This record gives sequence, C-alpha cells and structure tokens, in this order.
Amino acid sequence: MTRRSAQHGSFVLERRYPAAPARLFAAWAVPEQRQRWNVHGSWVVTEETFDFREGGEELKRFGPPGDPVHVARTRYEDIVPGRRIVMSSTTRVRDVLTSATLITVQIESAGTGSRLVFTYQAVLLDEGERLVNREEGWNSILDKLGVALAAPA
Amino acid sequence: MLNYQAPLDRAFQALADPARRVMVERLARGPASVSELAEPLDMTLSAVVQHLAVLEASGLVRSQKVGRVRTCRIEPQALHGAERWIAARRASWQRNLDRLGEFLAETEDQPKRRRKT
Amino acid sequence: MSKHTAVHGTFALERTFPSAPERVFQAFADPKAKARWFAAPADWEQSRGKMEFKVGGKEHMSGAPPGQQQHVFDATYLDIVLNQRIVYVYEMHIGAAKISVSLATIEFTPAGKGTRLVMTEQGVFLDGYDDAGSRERGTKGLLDQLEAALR
Repeated sequence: MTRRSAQHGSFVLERRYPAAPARLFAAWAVPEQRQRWNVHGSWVVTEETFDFREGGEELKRFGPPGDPVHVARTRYEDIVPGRRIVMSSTTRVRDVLTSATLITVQIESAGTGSRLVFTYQAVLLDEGERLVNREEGWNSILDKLGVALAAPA
Repeated sequence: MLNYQAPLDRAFQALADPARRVMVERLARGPASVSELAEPLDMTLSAVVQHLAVLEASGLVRSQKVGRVRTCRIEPQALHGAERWIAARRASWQRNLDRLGEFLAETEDQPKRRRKT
Repeated sequence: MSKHTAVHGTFALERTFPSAPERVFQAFADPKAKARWFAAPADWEQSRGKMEFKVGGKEHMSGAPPGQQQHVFDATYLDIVLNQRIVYVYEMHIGAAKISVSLATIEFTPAGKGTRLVMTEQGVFLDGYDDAGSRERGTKGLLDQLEAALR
C-alpha cells in the first residue's frame, strides 16, 4: 500500500454581506437556502442529507458529472444560533480518507450588514491535493453566498 | 494595562498572517489607533481594517471608536486563555508520550505469550 | 459575558521510539495498553468510558484536578490506517462549558528498527473560557488580600 503522509494547514476567509446576521445564519442553517450557494462549480450532487443541530450529521455525495466519487460527512460540533458554527468533516473517495477538516464560521453584525469570518483547518491525505485549491474553492462558494443573499429572499 | 511578555505562539491561526502578527505584537506593547497599526504595513487602510476584523472576531483584540479615532487593544484574557489551552494540551501529550515510551520499554522483551515480570 | 470568541491554534509533537510501528500503533489501538500510558495526571480523579477503536467509534474520558471541575474528553475516530495513521476529532468540556474542538492526527513512520511518531492537533478554543478553577482561585485570592488590607 502506498504510504501517504498528511499535510496540515489552514486559511481564513472574510466577507462582508449586505444582509443581517440572522439572514446570513439562515443561509447556512436552512437546507433550501444552503443548496442555492453551497455548490461546487460544474460538479453534481447525487445525494445530500441535512441535520443542522449540535451533534447532527450530514452526508453529501458529489463529483464530476457521471463520477460522483466524493463522499463528505459533516458533523456539527458547536452551534451558537446567529453567531457561530463549528463543524468537522471528512471526505472519502472510494472509502479512502482524502481529508479531515474543522471549519469555524463566525457571524457578527457590521453596519447594516454582516461580517463572516470563515476559518478552515485541514489535514489533507491525498498527495495530489493542495490546500490552496480548497481555498480557491471556498472563496468561490462564499462569493456565491453573496449572490444568493443579494437576490430577493 | 497588562504587559504581555511571553513570546507569541506561532501556532495561532489569527496570527498566521504576517500582517496580523505585526499588529498583535504592536498591540501587546500598548493600545494603538488603526492608523498607527497601519504605519509599518505596506497595505491600504481598508486592508488593515479587514485584518482587524479577523482579530476582533477571534477575541484577541477589541477596538473602540471615540470621535474619529478608533483605538485597538489586545485582549490579554483571550490570548492568555487560548495560550494556556494549547500549552496544557501540549504538556498533556508530552507527559503521555513519556509514559508511552516507558510502557513500550517495559513490554519490549515480552514474547507474544504474556509472561509475568 | 455573552461575547462569543474563537481562537484557532495548531501544535505538533514528534518522538522517536525504539519499538516497531506495529507495537507503537498497538499501544493506541488496544484499550488495555492505552490505559497504561494515556491518562490524566496521577493526582486527578479519573474515569474512562468504553473505547471503540474503529472509524466512527467513540472514546470518552474524564478527570478532575483536586477540588476542581471535571475535564471531559469525547473523541470520535475519523480514520484508522493500520500501523500508519489515526485521525480523530475531540471536544473538551470543563464542567458544563464546551472549551474546544480539535482535529488530531497521529502518524507512525518506520525509523530504522523503531518508529517516528508525529502528533498534530488543530483546534479552536471557544468563548475565551479561562480555566474555571484558576479564575475562581484568582478572584478569591484578590478578595482575601483586599479584605486583609482593610482590617
């Protein structure tokens, strides 16, 4: 078996959105809202479960069209309504762990809108992966969140 | 105002960004206005404000606007508490790994079948 | 205070042991072996829940320093690769308060006849919660001093 060594790393992303904290929090908490922006470019999602509460677990199967090999399992470790979400996540491809991550989302009011601080701490196990790609991916998703918030509710 | 003497732990994510490290190191020596913080950094004031937002969100820094001047202060409690948490976790592992070494040495000579020592 | 804070941190420790990776890994995998070295300080009162060493399995431990609140560790195993790697996520509580959530990665690499072990923790420390015992002791100490000074 090829030995893979773990890469550890983290990044922090910030955004300001023209929506009140409660609305921004709902965009994460409510499945129908989250589905509008938590998408991965051209990739498809073939299975998705929701359970937004402390201790709740969610599953997502996704990947390039025709090959949804990635399975992400997320557990909500800590939720402070309207303010903070801490979640741990693992991603597997054909049952082999490719990453484990800890994500912290902090929301606070900023003027008439909100500020979001997104911290991503990861251990990557697939040597082909680079943390910078994850960062690009999440930057793109947080942009989509902004578009979703700007659209009429 | 507490003088924060201990070296800043490289480990903190809020400080992983070099600009934020500079800002926190400056604030550890005393409060400062946003423009004072911006001075040694080669970036726009709005970029500095963004970095401040991350530091405030993490609880390491707080700021207050009086008139037109925003003054920033380090929150020694947050840094102190978080540093103590990391120090405690690290110390706990050091102790456990010491014991692991002893355990491995004690049981090294035992063959697969258990033998009384 | 209702301020919600989160400070992130990472640390890593490395050790080399003269035992083979299989033995070092076994010390983590076998609950009886693990109990011989993975424990709270000797003067703590401690208890262990069942340890299920498998992906999705749980591990629970709690201990209290003399006269203080319980420190509780709850872990869930995320990944286990025999003799190579263990990844888990754990939460720490002091009393009823959630203190931190962390990812832990333990890697076992052959080093000659022995093993190089690297332990990395990446976590988030929540709500600026200071060690409850010491905060209480600290405040009490100051009050005592103040009272003494006023006599």
